[in-house]
Amino acid sequence: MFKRFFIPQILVILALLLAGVPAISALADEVFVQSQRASILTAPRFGAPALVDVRQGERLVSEGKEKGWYKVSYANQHGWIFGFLVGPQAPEGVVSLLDKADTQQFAEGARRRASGFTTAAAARGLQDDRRRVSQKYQLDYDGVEWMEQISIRSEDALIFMTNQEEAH
Amino acid sequence: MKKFFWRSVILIFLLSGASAVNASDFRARLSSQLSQKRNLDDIRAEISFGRDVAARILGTIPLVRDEALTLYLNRIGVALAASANRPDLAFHFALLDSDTVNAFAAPGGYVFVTRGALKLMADEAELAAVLAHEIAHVASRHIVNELRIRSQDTTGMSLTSLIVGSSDPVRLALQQMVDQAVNILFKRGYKQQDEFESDRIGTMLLVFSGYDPTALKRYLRKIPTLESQSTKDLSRTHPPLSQRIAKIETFARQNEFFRLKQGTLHQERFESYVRSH
Repeated sequence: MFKRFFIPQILVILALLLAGVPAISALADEVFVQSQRASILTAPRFGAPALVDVRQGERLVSEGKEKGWYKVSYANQHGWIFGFLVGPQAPEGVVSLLDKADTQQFAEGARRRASGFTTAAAARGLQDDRRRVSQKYQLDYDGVEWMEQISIRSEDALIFMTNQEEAH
Repeated sequence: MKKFFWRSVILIFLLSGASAVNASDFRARLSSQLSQKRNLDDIRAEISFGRDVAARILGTIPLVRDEALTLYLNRIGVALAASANRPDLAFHFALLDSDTVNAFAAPGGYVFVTRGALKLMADEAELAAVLAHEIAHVASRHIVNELRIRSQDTTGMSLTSLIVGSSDPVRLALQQMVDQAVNILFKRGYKQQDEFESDRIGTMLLVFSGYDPTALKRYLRKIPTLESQSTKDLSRTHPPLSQRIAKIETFARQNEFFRLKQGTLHQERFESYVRSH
């Protein structure tokens, strides 16, 4: 009786449960490439041969971690990637405070959450508040803004860096 | 048939205990992973705070407003940062008008190098090495983590509320946090392990960008070991140079850098941009 009914049921249910575990682990251990480009290497050291190149935003399945390196699988290949090059979420582009709408959204979001702490003050804008932060020390926000005006696309910077000929 | 049905229900109920363990394990792992994730407001708070720190740096040491030279620094720095793990930040690089040998990084991507440091460099690879070390401090959020900067925290005193607040206590609290960051940069220095980590990551950025991987070591070796006016700040805020060089050498050996193809120096281009200014 027991053999006839219980054992097949136990086996089926266990099989279903076990099948679910690797799927859950894979979901939990995914990492995303953060750098513009990176290589998955055959061993956890930079001198090791490259297995495959991956680009920013690509999803890798993490199979373990060792001394700052992730063991990962990608496109049916298993190798190693330096931990600094990956992160737990897919990159979503540059965040900027220079865009007025972005700044306003930040201030509004902050007001909503910190209403007990800040009220109408946030509406005056971030820039004025920053300028008032310190009267004791010298502050040079004009210098910061001057720096921010010099904007380079990373694609252009990479072309410049690899170009041996270009001189001033 | 009825018996079979009820037995199955009981069995599933009992075995769901195992499933619950797995689910709970999964949730714990996911929760731990999610806790490392940063939301948009955290990043905005980091940038906004970094701007305040950058303004204090520039209020202490004047900015060199040389557009061509700054553009050059930014081309090198932005290219290096493309290999880093912070695609959410726009990095900005600038030169400081000081004869001291030093470089600084404020959270959010504001990186500075002094004229004194630039004078000591022999080629573009050495410049890249110094910028890469500073990028590593920003990318690894060394100041952000040390000061526990987040958009919100459980005490209700969040950085976001400090940044948008304007009452005197709020301004004072923000000023104190900026003071702490400036104190780390100018006086106390980063934690030693943060400096060593930035040396390792900086060297890695050099490798990925095709520069000579020994450039940071070469640059550090040139810094006078005897305390002088131009290097006393660097000595006070950084671990001993001999320790840093030894650790870089170990890192290079462990990672078999000798197998890598020889990196570039771009000496001529460096001379052309830097020596003419």
